[in-house]
Amino acid sequence: MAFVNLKNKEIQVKIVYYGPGRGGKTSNLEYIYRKFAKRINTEMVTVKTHGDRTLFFDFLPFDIGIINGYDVKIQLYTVPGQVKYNATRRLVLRGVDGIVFVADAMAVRREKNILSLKNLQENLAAYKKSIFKIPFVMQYNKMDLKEQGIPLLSIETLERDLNSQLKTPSFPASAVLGNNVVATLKRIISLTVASIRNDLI
Amino acid sequence: MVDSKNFDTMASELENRLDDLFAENDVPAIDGQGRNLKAHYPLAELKNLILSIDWEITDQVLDNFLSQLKELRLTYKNDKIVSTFLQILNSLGNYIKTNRAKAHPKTFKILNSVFSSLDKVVLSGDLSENAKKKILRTEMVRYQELRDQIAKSKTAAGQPKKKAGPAVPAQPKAKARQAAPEVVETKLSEQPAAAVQKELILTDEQPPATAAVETLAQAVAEIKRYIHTEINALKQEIQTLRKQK
Repeated sequence: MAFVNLKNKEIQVKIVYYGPGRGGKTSNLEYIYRKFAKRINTEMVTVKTHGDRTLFFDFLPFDIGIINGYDVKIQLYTVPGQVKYNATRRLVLRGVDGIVFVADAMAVRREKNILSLKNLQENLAAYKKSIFKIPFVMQYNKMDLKEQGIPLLSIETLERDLNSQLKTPSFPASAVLGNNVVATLKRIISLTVASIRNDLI
Repeated sequence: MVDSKNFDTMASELENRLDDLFAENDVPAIDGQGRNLKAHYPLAELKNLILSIDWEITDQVLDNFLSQLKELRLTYKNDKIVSTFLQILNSLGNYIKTNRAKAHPKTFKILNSVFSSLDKVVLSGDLSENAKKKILRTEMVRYQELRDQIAKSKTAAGQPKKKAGPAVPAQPKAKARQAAPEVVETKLSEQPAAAVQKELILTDEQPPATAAVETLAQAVAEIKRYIHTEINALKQEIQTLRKQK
């Protein structure tokens, strides 16, 4: 449940970008930060990195202003994708309100996507949350690699593998180029705020 | 509570706001790599380290934290308010370094709160001096309360020595607590930052002589109490043994 301060009319929304290692979660946040930092008046923080890998998490907070009398603050997090950092992933998921699952569209990463999604389901279950009920957006990243001749999974395959049961909104994307990064973000914010609003009524 | 009648209004208001904020036309990236945080945000590294401390307390993180504070204190040496914020963070950092996981649980909350206020003061160019002082005063009060709580919990635990208390005064200073906000206000407007810091913020430096004497007196009193309790217990045990015979 989001942090809602009825007295101060403030809502804090926690959105976590989840997915397999090297799938582009940090790239999503970096694009948002590079493009909109001044407009949304924020700073991106990456906690402990080793080389270019996220060992702990990235954090990008920003305020979207007053919506219907409530000051809505968004906090974007990523988790470390590598399998061995499951404890960290679980911790970052604490209090999550919405999820963006960043799948890697490269053909060689097919199994990793599925395993990561299952891992997400298990970790959410630890907090008594259902992957089917939490606001969720699927993103199929690295679509730009097609032009470089790298074999990619088709959207149909990705949908079948990852979204046949969830049936959530999905976006083919390129986090590096920024394609559909914003669309993904806007969608997850809308879904999450709507969900919180429903809980408040 | 959100009124259900406002459903559509809220949704469309949100959509419009998101469209405004994230319109991709005409927004140049702030720099090619987006990595050069320090150039336009001097607290970036400090923020990173604060989050790291929140995550895991290690020597390396704490050393980096304290040395980053040292750098920033040089950068902001002419800004009394920022310097005072940095001094509070420094005291908290030293206290955490000494006490590690045994540090008072509220310390980390206060650390985050002080940083958050510092962040606000540094980032908001349009804040008036008075508004900045008000923010600082709030943090000073919280900090003072933490000090008092630590002192109280130590007394309650009957700790004879102040091994872990560089940032904790030995004496309960109810009077100082009450006066703290006003003192900050006066000092900030009249004295250089260093003077304010010395007077109001506990550092890892040696406490004043009077405090040391009081600490010693307290320790002696506690040792006396401890010996007294032990002797009583021994007496009771001897009596029990005699009765058994």
